Amino acid sequence: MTQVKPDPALPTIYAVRRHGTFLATRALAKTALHELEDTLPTATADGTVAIDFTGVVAMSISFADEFLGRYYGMLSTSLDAPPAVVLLTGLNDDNFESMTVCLQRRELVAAMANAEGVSLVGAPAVLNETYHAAGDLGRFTAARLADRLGISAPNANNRLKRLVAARALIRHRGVADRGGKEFSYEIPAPPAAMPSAA
Amino acid sequence: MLIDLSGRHPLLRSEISASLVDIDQLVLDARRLRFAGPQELAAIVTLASSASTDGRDVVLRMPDDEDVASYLQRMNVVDLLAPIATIDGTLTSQRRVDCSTKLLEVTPLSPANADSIAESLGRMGESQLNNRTAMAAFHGIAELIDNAVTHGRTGSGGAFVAAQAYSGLTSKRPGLEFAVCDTGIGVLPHLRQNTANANIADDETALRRALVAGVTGTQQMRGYGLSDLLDATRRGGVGRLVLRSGSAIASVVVRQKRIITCRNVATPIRGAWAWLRVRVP
Repeated sequence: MTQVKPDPALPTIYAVRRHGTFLATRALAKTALHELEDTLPTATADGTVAIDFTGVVAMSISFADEFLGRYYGMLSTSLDAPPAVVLLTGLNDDNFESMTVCLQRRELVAAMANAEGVSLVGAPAVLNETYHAAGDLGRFTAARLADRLGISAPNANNRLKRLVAARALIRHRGVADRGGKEFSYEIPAPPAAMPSAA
Repeated sequence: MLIDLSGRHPLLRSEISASLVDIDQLVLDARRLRFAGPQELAAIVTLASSASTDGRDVVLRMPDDEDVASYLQRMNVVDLLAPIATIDGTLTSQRRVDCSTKLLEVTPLSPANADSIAESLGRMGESQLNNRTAMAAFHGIAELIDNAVTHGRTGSGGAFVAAQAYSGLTSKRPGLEFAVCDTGIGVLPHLRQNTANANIADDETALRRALVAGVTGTQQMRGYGLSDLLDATRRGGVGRLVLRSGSAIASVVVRQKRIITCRNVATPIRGAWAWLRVRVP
């Protein structure tokens, strides 16, 4: 009884490069954010959005903050709002650094995809540890993750909530054996056609 | 007001040599100017623009040194001042070639062109510097441009930018210099818009506080721009930032650590001026 099931082969791609190769101001970032929001209705509720930085040489931290700091901040306030998965793609080292600083200041995380797979940006060690364990487990419940990490179920749920809020983890709603709802989780697959970094 | 622009980089010195001669006139006396960079160029145009907007007569006395005079012409200073000022001195006819990979002539800055200017300067850094230093320069320039169009655009005299890349043939260190001068609200009044900064008493304290991460005049989680600029500079090269606003000036030398010097000055300016030099370490 799956509630969300993104098709990683068909992401909605928002190409940041359309705004230039060196991205500086908060005003431009606001434009990019509005455009991204306008793009989202074309993504179905169970879809994946890839925010693609291919071709972007550098962006200021102010740009990153006004664009994606705000975007991920909005996502974090509503777990069930679409899209189900948001992946940053095509990040070069400099843009990765800008995103990391921006997200850490807001205590947010994001998922990025590259040829090696999907990983987190801006995450503290404890969330990275959780994400790695999630990757090993495939599809799992909070209780199973708690067992794997040796932590309490509420602690596991808190970590999973942050990852779902970041659209870094797919949450499936199901029915538990003893009745009542039960969530299971899995890490999204990277888009089939992976853009390359600038 | 007579401003004496003599010697090398006169507007990077703490004190601007100014004297009150005629309150209705601004004379920018560059006759003894020996070496100018983006800070002098952008500031000359900004001072002239601001004075003209106030209804004052503006006079630019061109440098006696032919090379310096030619540089002022090449960098658009004369073209920008011609409609608003009397140009006193000999002008030469110039045949311009595109040097956009090495210099940005003095250019009015507005929200409409801020990102295209940043893009041009990003490419300039890419073409002249190693990747790490180019990225450091871009991050610094981007934050200064964003500050100017966000906080400095209210000024009736506008804002101006200029930049110059250096090959390092003489200094052994390739680098990029960038200057932006605005006639906007200035650092102290901006910071005071946030009640958390209401106790900042003077321009010197305001500049010192503006360099601290998270100090902002807005009600948002901002105020990291200058701090990020200095961090980026340290990661990618060595550099120096000079900020002037109101009656104060701050100089930050960035190497392994920051050496910050702030002081009050005798001659105040309207708005804020920022000059950044990033060089390959």
